[in-house]
Amino acid sequence: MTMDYGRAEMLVDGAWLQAHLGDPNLRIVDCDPVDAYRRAHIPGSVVPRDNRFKDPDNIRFVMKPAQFAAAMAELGISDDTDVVAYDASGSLNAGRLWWCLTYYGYTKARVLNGGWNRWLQEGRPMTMEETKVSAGKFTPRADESVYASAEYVMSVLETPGVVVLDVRTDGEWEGTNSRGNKRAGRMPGAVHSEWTNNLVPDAARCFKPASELKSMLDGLGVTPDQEIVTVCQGGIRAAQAAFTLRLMGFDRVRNYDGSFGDWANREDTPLLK
Amino acid sequence: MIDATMAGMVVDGEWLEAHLGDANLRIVDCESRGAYERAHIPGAAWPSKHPYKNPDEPLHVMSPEQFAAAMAELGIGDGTAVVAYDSGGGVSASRLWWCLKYYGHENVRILDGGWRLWLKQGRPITMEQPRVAPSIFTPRVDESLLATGDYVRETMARPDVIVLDVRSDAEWDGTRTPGNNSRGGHIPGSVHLEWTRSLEAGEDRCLLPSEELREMLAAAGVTPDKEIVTV
Repeated sequence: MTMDYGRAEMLVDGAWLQAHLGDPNLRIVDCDPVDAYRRAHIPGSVVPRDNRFKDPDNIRFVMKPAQFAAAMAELGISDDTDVVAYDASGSLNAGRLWWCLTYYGYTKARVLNGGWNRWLQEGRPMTMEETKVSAGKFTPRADESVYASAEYVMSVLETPGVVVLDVRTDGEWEGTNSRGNKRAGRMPGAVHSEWTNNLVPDAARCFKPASELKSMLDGLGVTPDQEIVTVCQGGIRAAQAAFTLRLMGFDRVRNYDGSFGDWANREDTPLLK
Repeated sequence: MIDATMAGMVVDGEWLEAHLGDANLRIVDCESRGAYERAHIPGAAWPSKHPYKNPDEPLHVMSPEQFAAAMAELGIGDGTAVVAYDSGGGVSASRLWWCLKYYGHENVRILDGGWRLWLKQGRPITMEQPRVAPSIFTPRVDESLLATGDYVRETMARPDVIVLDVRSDAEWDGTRTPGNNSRGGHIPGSVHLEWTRSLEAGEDRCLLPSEELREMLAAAGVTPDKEIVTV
């Protein structure tokens, strides 16, 4: 497998993870819903109560520092824990945890490439036994440089040196699918590539090789000399896209956490159709 | 554990693995969609209409037309051999077993130990979902398997009828009233054995051997010479 990503260390593969299953400082997080976890999971993995890490009092936005610290503590994640996240959803939910951890100042979370799908294909160990962990102590240190608010996005739209990368479906981009928002459409000057384009289109759903991702991003005008703001409906697909860009070596990447659930329900934001 | 008395209603993992390719076999995974998508037995289908209650009358089983449509969606026709499983001690799989029996389909069995034992034994699993060919299911109601409220009230005092209540202790005692029940308690004259008592104590949750089941039931007065109404 080609591992010439700018930050190849952000991914692990099944062979590595299987060899490290017993590491006392390693916390594996199954980022899919609890009923999937209960059916079967990687031995020693834990599952979060809320795999989107949204603030229950303000559901469009990421948890507040204290809420996120409590969620991490419950998973047994402390400041010095090694975290590997996986899912069976094309690294969508694992990418969300990676971004939330990054936002709260924890920069060494990694993602299992191909996730559960490839783990199962490769016949690696699995269990139904739920992992008991002792509480961690996680210190949230918000890093606003990876976060985009609506105000921030409005201030950088159509600005040279900043690209808004919209990773929603064609229907959402064209405005034919409103997702229940008051308004539909896209942001002026944004470019579009659905998040699934970052994956090899087969059952394992690994990330595409670096060379393929690079030519795809180049074709969109998404280059590492610029700041990239990723957007979707709820900051989950956009987190997977932010993960992909960081993996490729991009330095300045922000996730619009509120995304269209925020943008398209406000009246003060520009939309094209 | 399967022994001769149970043969015919229950299959084990070894049998099922040997029959995975049978054209006439439909395996049904009776857990949640999320569980099914994570992994399942190869060829297993997922029933979107579980537990087969009538949407217009959710206390009761589906109408014949509704149930026939639910079975057609699973590719279950009149000649299909059905094996149902779950990871909850057979509770969901048994629901499908009973509904099929009620609608006259005899060829249905349960995987003993269900998903839990299948996984533990290292048998094949997949995330791939089968393409299900349309089928025709003809419902033929067998009213001898159904008890209505009126039926229970009329028969509960008869010496040849036993009402077997399989709810939890708290439901039996009336200290817990689940759902929208307006009253708690138990039916006069009924006997109580929680459904989980039919299972082995270990994590595999297989059925108890028939001798143990027979003793437990006999001690509660539940014997094959009686008519049993389960509630």
